[in-house]
Amino acid sequence: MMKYKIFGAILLFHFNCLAQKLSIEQSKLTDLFTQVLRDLAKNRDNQITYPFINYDNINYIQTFVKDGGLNDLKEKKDWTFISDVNNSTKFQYQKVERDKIKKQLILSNIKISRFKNEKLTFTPFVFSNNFNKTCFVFQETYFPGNNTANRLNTIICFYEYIDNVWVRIHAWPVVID
Amino acid sequence: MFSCIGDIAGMTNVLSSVAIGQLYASSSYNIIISENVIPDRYETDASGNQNIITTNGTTNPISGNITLNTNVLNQSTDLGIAATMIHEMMHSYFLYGIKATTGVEKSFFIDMNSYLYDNNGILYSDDYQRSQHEQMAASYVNSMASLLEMYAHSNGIYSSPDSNISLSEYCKDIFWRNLATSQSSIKAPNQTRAERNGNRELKNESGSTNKKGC
Repeated sequence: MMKYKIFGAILLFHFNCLAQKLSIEQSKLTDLFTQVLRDLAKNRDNQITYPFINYDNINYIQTFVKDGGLNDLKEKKDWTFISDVNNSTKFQYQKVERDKIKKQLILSNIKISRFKNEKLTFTPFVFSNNFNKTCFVFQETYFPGNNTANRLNTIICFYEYIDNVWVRIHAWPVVID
Repeated sequence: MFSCIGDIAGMTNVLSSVAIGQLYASSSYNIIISENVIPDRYETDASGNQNIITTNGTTNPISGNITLNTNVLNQSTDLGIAATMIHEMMHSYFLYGIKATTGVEKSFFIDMNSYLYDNNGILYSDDYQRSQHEQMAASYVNSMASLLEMYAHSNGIYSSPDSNISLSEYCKDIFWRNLATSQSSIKAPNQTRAERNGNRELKNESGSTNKKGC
């Protein structure tokens, strides 16, 4: 009986730790999402459309690595985890707290506009094992009408969690046309 | 196609197109120009309609290499292809300036291309494509069109298919067509006409300068 109690306690402790870890990761994900939108809004008159998630553009991360794009990062070795993007197990946890993000953005005087002529899409964030480094691709598409669409920007971004704040380390286009 | 590229690259030696000339003259910055099929992409707009994105050509942001879309090469007129080449070479020049220049050359590049940088001299690294198109619209359209006009002359094209404007204006329209749709805040003087004339060459519509050698 004692054996089961100890086993139960260990199990409970394990799940508590896991829940705590997930809660921290969730909070960091929300902070990251907010910071990314804040950074993007800087060059866009403090206005931004809320992004959609797009899995297809994950391919650009692989191409970036293959083309030698990581060479421009100071600590290249620390970022090689993105080469393993296909095996990332983190995608499933990326449930974003939209309302919280929107509130934070409003507090930063950022206006969130509705998707109309411009569409913003993000790939899921690819995180390092310690959840302190991440990379993603965003794409802006413009719809001028006449059944046409134009890509405005397709950019790969690198963020690092430094002193409890997400900081952009590098941003570079993955395609120019 | 490759004879067209050679013609354009050769012309930069005699034309006052500083940008492409600089790229052409550099002994340390080499780019590869190739062709490949770039499939059309479909994007859903706010109303749920599928919109098509056709890519004429791309520039690799790491190497500066240019890929021209085989589908567009097969469809466009020679003038349309030459215009795409010049457009992509400008992107490659911007990448060269951003990544490969130092010292005085870098300062000169920043002075020449201030639209790529914010007021603090920081590169618009997350608004790359828009800032590059903005720069082309602000400073380079006329010289890009001069280069294209020169190419037209060397291929026996001396008058504009649009009888209301000169060949020089017509060449500008071809470039404005792409810059206008990239949402550059600097707009074409006549956007509707630019769209019409640009499509005429890029899609080889009736009344174009036709397809000859490219």
